[in-house]
Amino acid sequence: MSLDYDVCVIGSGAGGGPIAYELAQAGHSVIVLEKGPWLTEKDFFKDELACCRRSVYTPKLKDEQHVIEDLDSQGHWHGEATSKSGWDFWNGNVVGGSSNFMSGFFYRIKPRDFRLLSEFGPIPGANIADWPISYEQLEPYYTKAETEIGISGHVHKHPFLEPRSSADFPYPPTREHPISAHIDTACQSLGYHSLPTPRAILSRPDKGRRSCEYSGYCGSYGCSTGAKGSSRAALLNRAVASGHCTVQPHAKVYKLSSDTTGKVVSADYYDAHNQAQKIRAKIFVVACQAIETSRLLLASTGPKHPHGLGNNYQQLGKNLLFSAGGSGTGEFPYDQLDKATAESFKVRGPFVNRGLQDWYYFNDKSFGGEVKGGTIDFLLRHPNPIAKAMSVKWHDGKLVWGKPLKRQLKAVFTETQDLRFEVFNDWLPTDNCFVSLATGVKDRWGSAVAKVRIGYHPHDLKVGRYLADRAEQVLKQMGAKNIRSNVSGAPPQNLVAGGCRFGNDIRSSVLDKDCKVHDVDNLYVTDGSFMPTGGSVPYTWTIYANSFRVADILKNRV
Amino acid sequence: MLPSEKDSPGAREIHAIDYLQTMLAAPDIEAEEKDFLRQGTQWLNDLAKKNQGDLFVRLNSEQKETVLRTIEQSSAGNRWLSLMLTYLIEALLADPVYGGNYQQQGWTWLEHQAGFPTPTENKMYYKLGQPVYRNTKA
Repeated sequence: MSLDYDVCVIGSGAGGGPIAYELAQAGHSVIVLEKGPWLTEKDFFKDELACCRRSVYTPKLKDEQHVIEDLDSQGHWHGEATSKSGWDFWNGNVVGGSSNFMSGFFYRIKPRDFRLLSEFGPIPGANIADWPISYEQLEPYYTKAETEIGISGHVHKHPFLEPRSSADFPYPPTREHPISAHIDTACQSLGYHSLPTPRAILSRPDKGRRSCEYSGYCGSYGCSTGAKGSSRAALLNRAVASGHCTVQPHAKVYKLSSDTTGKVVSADYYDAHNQAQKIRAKIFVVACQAIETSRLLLASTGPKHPHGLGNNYQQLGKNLLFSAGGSGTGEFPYDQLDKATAESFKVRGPFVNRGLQDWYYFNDKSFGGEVKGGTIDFLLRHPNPIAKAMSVKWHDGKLVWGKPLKRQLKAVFTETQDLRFEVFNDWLPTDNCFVSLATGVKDRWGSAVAKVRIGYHPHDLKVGRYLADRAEQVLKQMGAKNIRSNVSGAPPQNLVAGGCRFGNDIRSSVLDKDCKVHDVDNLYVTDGSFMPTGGSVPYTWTIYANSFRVADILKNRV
Repeated sequence: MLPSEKDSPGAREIHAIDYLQTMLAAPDIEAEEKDFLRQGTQWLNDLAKKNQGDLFVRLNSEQKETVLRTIEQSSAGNRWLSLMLTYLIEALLADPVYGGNYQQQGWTWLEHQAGFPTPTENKMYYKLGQPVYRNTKA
């Protein structure tokens, strides 16, 4: 049988990009199938309607959706289609995936995260597992990502700094907002170590990309300079330039067909005209973001895989992870600051770039000893004006209009700067957080959509609250007013991993340590699905690093 | 719902009607929603005539407020007002390329510093990377 390509990658985000780039650079023929359109820097504007208020980078929910299963008031799991609830679980279905729209807070996970079970012991009701690889095995690829993706920052010594093979980041930090110095002062007096947040944003032009122009609108927006280290800007453009990589947009893969030996023979997809097509390749790599990856494998039944590819031990889709924690805010009314400080707080453009990891692990008697904690990151309130105005549309359950609306708008826009924080801690894997196929709800091509049960472990909330209380102390020390925070079990849909955890035992994992499906010889998964536990940071740097690691394995195989 | 004042723009100055026209013509917004928006103005005028004796636009601000607060009582009326208010807020603060926020008056009034680059007419959101929905085979 003739093969079309050496490697077929399904999904073009942070999990797919490194595979496509590395294998194309090595001279192998690669095709990347992406469901969404191929937008570039020329299509990205600071347009709040495009980024955040209409479905431009994601499907309309009536065409493609999810069913979200949550506990109802009687304690039963109840599924609701997102076209009804409006709770959108899509994150960026375009070439480059959701990495186009990330804020790019880049953290490595730490050595003890790879051994969470051995280091901290079991927690009842949680399926905690050690990783089958160590930090030392992943470290060279974290370093590689710093150069290839373009990570800017400055290494700052602190008690939980992970070991590094290079002295510092290849790019200096991005420019900082005046409020950052106030965070540092407050942390210093509290004895905390405020750390410069590494960002996947170029602080100087490199590799054909411009550096950041500090428009002040970053997260949720596609980058118009190429400074943001999306899979598209940082990797796919160069993969295509090698002459060995084809990126096929508007290609919705609905099934991987496998033969009687259990090997995958083709990726079956609908093209832009809704015509069914097939790609044959030696190796298939799936990276559709965790929920859709599990969905695709579950839908890909075959003679040796009657319950979906890699699901002979009923592990597929299980132990889905989000990111636990929450967020908080403190207000700085301008009329309570001196004039110079007030003016400096109004500056728009540079980044806050401050985080705290003082409680990445901590000892507290309310937890009965040492436990895994997490990360706190500070940021300004998002500058999107429509979102800000919508926050005053209702008051006490009634609509606000007319002159009262105008007074509220004037106040929310011109009287304070809001400093926010976000808490990232482990979303413990449990039996109540998983992906399956929905019955009766289909996408516009007639395939069953993913059903996602979103249960959380109560321990996550306890840790999140502990961290949020520390972050509130910083805001208080800074003199902020109206400080409040919210820690809940509602999952942030943009931070998702797991579902195909890697491990050494086929009975308790979907992938082996190389991220190959245990019982399929030519199928790999390289998005965040592989993670058995998530660490207490955003996932993207780890996804990039692991995908570079798997690319090295594949280079020796193809 | 957004009155003009001496020191600040209202729906008239920001060209809220032009923004609404853009959205009533936008291909991505559901026909149901567009019909609902149009029908609502009809109900509003019917009620204005019945209770206050004239078309809504010809009423004084007190009469207008009374009519709006009456409409707010029903769930459909509440939904319509809420939707209208959302479009009005967008008209005030979306990029001027969509017809509202005329001469950036919304941004200027609220001292809002916009990002850059801003969209051009051929890159309005509904013209970007439109997926192909139709089977073009004969």
